[in-house]
Amino acid sequence: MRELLRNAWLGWQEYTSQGKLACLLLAALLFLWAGRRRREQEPFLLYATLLTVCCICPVTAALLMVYQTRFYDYEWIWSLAPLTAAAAWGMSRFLAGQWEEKKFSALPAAGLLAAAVFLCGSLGGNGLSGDGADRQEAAGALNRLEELYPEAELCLWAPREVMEYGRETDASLRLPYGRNMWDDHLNAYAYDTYDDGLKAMAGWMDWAEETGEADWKRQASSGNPRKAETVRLEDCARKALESGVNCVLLPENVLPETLRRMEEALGTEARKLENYYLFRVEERAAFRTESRQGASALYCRPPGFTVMPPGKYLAGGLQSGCTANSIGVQYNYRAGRERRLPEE
Amino acid sequence: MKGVMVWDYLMAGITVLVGVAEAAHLAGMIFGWSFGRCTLLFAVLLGIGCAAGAGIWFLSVRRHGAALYSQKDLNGAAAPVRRHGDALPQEPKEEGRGRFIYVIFILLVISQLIFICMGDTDYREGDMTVETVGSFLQEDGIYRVNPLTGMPYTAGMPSRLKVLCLPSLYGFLCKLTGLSAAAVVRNIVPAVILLCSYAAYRALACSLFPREGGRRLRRACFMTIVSLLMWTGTYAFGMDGFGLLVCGWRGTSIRNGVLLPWLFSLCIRRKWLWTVLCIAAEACIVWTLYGCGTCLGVTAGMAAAHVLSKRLGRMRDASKRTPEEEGLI
Repeated sequence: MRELLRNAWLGWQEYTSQGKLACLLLAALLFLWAGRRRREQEPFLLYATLLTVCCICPVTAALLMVYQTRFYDYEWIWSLAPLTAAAAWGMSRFLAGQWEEKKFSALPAAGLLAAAVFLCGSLGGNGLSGDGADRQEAAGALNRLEELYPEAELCLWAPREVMEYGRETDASLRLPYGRNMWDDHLNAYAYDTYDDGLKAMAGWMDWAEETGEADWKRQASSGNPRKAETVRLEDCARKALESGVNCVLLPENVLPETLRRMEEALGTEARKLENYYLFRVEERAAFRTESRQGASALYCRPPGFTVMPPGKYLAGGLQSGCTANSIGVQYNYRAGRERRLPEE
Repeated sequence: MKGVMVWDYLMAGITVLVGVAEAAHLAGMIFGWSFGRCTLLFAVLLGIGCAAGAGIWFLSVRRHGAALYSQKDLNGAAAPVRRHGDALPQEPKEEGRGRFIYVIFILLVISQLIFICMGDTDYREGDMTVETVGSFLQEDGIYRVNPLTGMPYTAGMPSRLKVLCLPSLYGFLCKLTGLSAAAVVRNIVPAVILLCSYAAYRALACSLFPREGGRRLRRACFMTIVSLLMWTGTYAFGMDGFGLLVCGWRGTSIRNGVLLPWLFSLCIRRKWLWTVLCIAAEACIVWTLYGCGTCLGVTAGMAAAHVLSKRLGRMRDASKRTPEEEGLI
């Protein structure tokens, strides 16, 4: 409850820090209470006033947040208060009153009112996402990919801006991780979570885009600032292949060494595609798995496709109709027992 | 129906559309139907709904003659200035001002429509509607893969979100029109929702300024100020203007921009039965506490405000009475 109260208090501060439409509502309510002659629309006025007070007071605001399932943030409790309607009602009464009673010229009154409204907010400025260039760049690369491999079922690992718009641009494209990797709000839509390997892949790609280097030195997961662990390109590439990735895009600013090591890790050559380097992992030779003992080698296509390992690893292999992400299960099953090496 | 405006029919039509989409969505989920089959069901139900709506409209028009519902009085009583459905001309000066303000209002609305349609104005954080619609169309089924990755779900998704029908509704529209998911979700739906929102606010204006003198001017002022507030309210997530102009396809935007203004209008006119439509529509498009969402809270609050107002009125009347009057009573 203390946390909820804190959120309610901080929520109100946040709500009034960016714009002042809530203040405009209070002014309108004051005018409506003071200036009314008859008991016109009294229930609406009463409701608007009470709900406004409830939304401002932290205790009642916390209760309203509880009513709204706690899932929604503070700003959503203002849905209960008729902010736009009550503010417009008060202002229209004021303006129409000036016109009708000719207290002073209507035009200055309208101008002042409009200025007050403008000063309380912004004219669409904050709504602009400004990511149109990213979107176009990503769409350009994705369209080229589709032209190059029209029939292939691509599973793509790429820099964030491409992953961001990948599924939106082409719904047939598959990704090892989605936008919820960096947009936490989206995690509410599924119980699925990402393992450390996928998180490392996402972090490594951001690092590569920023620095162009092949090894990412990140803070240790234990939280000790002195300890730093290195996420190697090869580890990420192996994880990508395990996740079914058959197409990798790297930003064009990566160092030559990074490019070379990625080529070696994936066993394929890079080619230029728009502002990226493309690595296409062919299905027939996706990667080779070799046991630690080096006794046996297992060739298989990347996950996401039908995997047919030897019976001694998974008796019977995949059953028909059993497609629900059994890929991950198979690879986890063999994790720690096998070492996968890229095909030369 | 007494005191029902043309805007009420329009809003009721929107809630029926949501209901039809919900029925087709649930059918697809429960019976595992393909998305094409769900679309067919949606089209058939929508056709039946449209035919029923047209029938109700026709019967109402016949019963009430040529009366203009949009100009009907609050509570359905005959407006003092009207005879046999013909509105008496208003004062020419007021008429001219009202028209001038409406011109400003229309210009503002057009500018907002341009803003929505020009692209690069959408807010995607915490939203995956386009991906969801795309995955429905691609997989020909509802929630067969995780929309964000295109891979099968490993742990599934919450049922409370699975039952919400908006992605399916947009998918049906894509399937029926052949348009892309991004075009429908990002441009067409927000533009339609914006217009519906102004229809809802118009209903509210008619309820707030029912029969007083100069109502045309006041309603024009109200609508123009609402459109200005929409523009200026784009500064923060959660504001009505932000919802309608930047992410108009979301359930919360439809609730705040369309359902709630209409609900306030209904509550002011005490059309309690109609409020059920709003409550049900909200439950279909926004995650609520088992249907106990904002619309139910507003309805309960407005009902309580009506009771409180009545009691306050009685107390005021009692306090105004002189001792002599009290004695007479």
